[in-house]
Amino acid sequence: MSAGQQLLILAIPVLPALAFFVLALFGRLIGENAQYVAVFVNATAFIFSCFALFLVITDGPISFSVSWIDLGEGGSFSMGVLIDELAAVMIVVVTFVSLMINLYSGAFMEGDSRYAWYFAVLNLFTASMLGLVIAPNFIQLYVFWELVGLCSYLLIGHWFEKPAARDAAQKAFIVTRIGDAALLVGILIFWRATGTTSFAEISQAAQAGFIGGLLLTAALVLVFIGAVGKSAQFPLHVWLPDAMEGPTPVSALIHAATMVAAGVYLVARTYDIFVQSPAAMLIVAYIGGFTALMAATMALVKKDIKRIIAYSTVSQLGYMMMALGIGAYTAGFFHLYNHAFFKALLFLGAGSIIYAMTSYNIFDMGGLKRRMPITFWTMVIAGLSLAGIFPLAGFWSKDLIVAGAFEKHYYILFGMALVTVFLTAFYIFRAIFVAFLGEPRTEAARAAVDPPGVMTVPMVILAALSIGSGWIGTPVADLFGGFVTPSEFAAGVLAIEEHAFSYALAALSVAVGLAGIALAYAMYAPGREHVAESAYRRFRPVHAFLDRRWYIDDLYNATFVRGAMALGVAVREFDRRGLDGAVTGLGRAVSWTGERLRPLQTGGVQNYALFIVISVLALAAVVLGDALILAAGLLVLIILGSIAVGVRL
Amino acid sequence: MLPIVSITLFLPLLGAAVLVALPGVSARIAHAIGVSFSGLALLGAFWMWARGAGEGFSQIEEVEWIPSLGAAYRVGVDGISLPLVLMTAILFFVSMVFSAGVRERARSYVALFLLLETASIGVFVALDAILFYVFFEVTLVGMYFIIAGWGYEDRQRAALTFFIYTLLGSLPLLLAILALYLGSDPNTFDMRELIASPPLTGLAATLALIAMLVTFFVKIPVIPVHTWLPAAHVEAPTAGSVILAGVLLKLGTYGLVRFALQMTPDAFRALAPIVAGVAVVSALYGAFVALAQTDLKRMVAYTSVNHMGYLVLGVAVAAAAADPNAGVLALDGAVLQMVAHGFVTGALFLLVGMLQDRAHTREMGDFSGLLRIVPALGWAFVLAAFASLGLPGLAHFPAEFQIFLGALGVYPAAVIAVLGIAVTAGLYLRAIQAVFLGEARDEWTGLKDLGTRELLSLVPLLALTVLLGVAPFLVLDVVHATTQGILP
Repeated sequence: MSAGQQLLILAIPVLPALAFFVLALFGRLIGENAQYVAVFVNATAFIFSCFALFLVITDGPISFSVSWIDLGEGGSFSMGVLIDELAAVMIVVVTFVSLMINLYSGAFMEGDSRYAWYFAVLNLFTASMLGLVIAPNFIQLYVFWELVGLCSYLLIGHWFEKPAARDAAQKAFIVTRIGDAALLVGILIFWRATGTTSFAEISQAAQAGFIGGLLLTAALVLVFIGAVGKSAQFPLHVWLPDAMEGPTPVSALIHAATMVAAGVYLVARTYDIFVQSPAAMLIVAYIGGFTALMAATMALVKKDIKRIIAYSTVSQLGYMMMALGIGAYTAGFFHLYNHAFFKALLFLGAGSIIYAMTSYNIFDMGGLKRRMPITFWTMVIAGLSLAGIFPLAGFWSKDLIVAGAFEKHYYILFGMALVTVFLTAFYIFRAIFVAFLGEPRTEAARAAVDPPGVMTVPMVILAALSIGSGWIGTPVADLFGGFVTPSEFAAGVLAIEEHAFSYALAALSVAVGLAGIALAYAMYAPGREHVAESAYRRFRPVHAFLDRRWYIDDLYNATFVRGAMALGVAVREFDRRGLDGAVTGLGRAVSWTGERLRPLQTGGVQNYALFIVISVLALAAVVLGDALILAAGLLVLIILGSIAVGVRL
Repeated sequence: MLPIVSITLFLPLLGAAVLVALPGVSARIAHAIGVSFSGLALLGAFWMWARGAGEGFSQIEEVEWIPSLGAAYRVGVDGISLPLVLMTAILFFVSMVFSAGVRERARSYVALFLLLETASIGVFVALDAILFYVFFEVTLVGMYFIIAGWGYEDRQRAALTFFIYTLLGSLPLLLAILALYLGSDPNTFDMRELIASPPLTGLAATLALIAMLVTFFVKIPVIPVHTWLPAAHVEAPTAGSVILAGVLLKLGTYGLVRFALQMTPDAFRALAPIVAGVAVVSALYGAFVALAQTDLKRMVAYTSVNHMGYLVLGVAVAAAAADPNAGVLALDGAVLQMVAHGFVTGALFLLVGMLQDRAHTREMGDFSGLLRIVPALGWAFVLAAFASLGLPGLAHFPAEFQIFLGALGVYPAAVIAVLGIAVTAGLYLRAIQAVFLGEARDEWTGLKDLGTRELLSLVPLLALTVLLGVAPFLVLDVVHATTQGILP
């Protein structure tokens, strides 16, 4: 490809990165105009991404790289660009969602004391994610992977004066970093075994037998732990719900396009390696399936609208992981793509409510349907899409996953997925019914209005996509499935068979979803509060268990957090009492001797000069005379000298 | 050709001599002299860098002294020492700029720093074992006076501990040097000869190695002989801490490579598993002790133990590696780690010092929400902290990554040290959280943000931290040219 085209491709991640530097350095000058810089840059990156997608469609994958560190054999690392079908779709999604969120943030963040800085980090976030997506090798991926983590830390903690935001940012970084440490070891193992960090070359090396068996599985599991951390899968899911303390548009970005998508993307990116270890695939599938179910149950009882949506992200990411694990590659990624739009929309909707009434609690709301019609209808669309109701976008990919589990004979996972569909529909419509129907429960809710146009326009666009984004992957014309496909190699290993679209399974999953919505209506529609109340009373322990997030956070606090601190304190005390004590004792002995020798010393610096001269002379003498005797004498001299000096001062 | 190495080496000493010869100069002039001479030395170091280093030693300057003994004034650099010389010159220059605020006995203060600079550069450029030893000892003297004269409350005791500890620690090195001398044929102190044909074998080599390890482990420091470090750091004046962590610790690691690895390679290979084990324990130990600290300066001091643990692991891997590629990779990483640690930890100590200058406390619990009040200081600390916890794109990452890469091939179990990166993340975030985030307390609202002098000293270090992270090849290429020739 031509140099001009390469430059254009490079501009996709570089432009937002430049915006970061400009806004970070000159933020004070730019002030309120920061949003225009950000929107312009993101719009350009989006257009370039579309161009890249077009190039991939017409000419096939784009790939070029430059050497970064070149230390000869075994020590060469490069930075480059690999945009295949997977990456092309991903960068379009990332830049598009990022553009919407930058637009929305312009109004949402108005009046913030660190307005330009907010946009600076937002753009660095996007740039890091893009750098990650186009990475052709593990090193580059890891570099941007960590930068994504840094940006999430900065953005979740944007309102760092708030203790909750401060703690959430810290939790997010540390929890994901535990995953990152595992990922790093996984990368190291791959590099040792195959001598390369390139995804394609590792896959080939594995096929050629350079790495296999238990070692391959171990390396893949380590890489997967990295993905588990970023994509908030069990058991490292604990950071994501807390991350709600950041500004709401940031939540939208984290949940839809950057950060959490990175984990799923990593597994998809390295799919050719994953398929070579059936054990690793099974682990991915079951962790995903379990997370989907677990997070959905946690969402059932939450009162904070952002947390409900957050748990739904954990749950939906579980679906994607499960899909990848069972070999439904296209379905998993298709869901990532659809999910990006409706999840971004859900958060922007929640953001609109918060913008209007500064409360996250759905039981403070009520009756918002009349006051905020645009927010209501877009939320309903996003909710239906999330619940997987035909013919909205979410339906097409979710159905592919559920059907895939059935057709590939993972009946346990199929059952879990189906239950999750039910729970998902229930919890999201519980939130919508409570928040939007009935009468306002507070003064704030009574006064709420739809946000200004700059915020509603992105919501309406995203609503349109939440309906239609999935239509490129229908059984009638499966454009998506024909475009983003597992490699021939992966398809061969997985022995993927074509299954006709199963109307029975589709009907079943929609029916289950509708049942969930119906139950939510039965319990939470206006005037039916007593139903929910009696259910709460009857299942109080279950409610507590779910509300305390299965006690997982408490368990981690009691074990790992306390444990690490206790270990630190124990080692510190050992260091102070045990080791240093011994040394102090020695020091006392020396200074005692020093006191006795005090008459010997004369002047400070002169003493020193003398001491050094004697040392050097003694050294010269040593080499002339009998080495050992003189060395011993020298030792004595130096010790005496040092004591003299020590006492002097 | 101009003897630029010697000029760079002795310029600071000349500055010190000028100060000694000018009694009664004002603090202003003393600092001006200090900044100019360390600045000139920095120019000299850049010049040396521009001349470059090849595979072996280059830029040699040699004056015969006692030919019959094989002792001479010999200086020169290779790819390992050259980056360290440049780093040393930068750190001293930055320290002199930062120290310009010191009013108390400024003349002696500056003179001591300049003396210390010559001694430090001397250690890195010395190619004669005696010369090396002399410089090695003189650094001790300089640092002792700096801590004792300009430190904080408990400075006398800390200085004495530091002095006795490292002085006693360095005696074994003298014995080892003598052993190397007596073992060589013809007898010589020429380090190039000692490296080209290691003179000792068998038990003698092992004993010499153990003696050197004692010396260098104290200096680096590695547990259990690290206890002088926190005390010395906590009591040292800010610039003293910068030099102590940035430069003096590197004397130990540099010696570990130059002497232990290069002069007794076979013995080192045999002992490498033990060294690696100690290094891993040291890395994790340092991280956990740091995690439990409440004094910021002490915490940063302990993270040095952690980073030095990785570094020693890299050297041990290089000594043991059967596969030269893995060994070279680890050694490249270890040398890069020396440079990265100098800049990053230097910046962190500067920042803690700036905080202490303002608030007169270093207890994390005393602070809160400072990011809002002193944003430049706060964000600089965040950047340096993230560099120190190994964020890619910043200086430590390429170094530690290469060390881990090499280590995995030789000692797979050593990979447990990677756990340390999660712990360091925890401890730095904890510090940031306590000091900079949250609501600002009223008592701190009057704090001033960074002044010009502080920015001038800090920004170069932060810029270099980013530069090293983004373009590590700038240093690695130089290092690699030498290291690939070192290992068989």
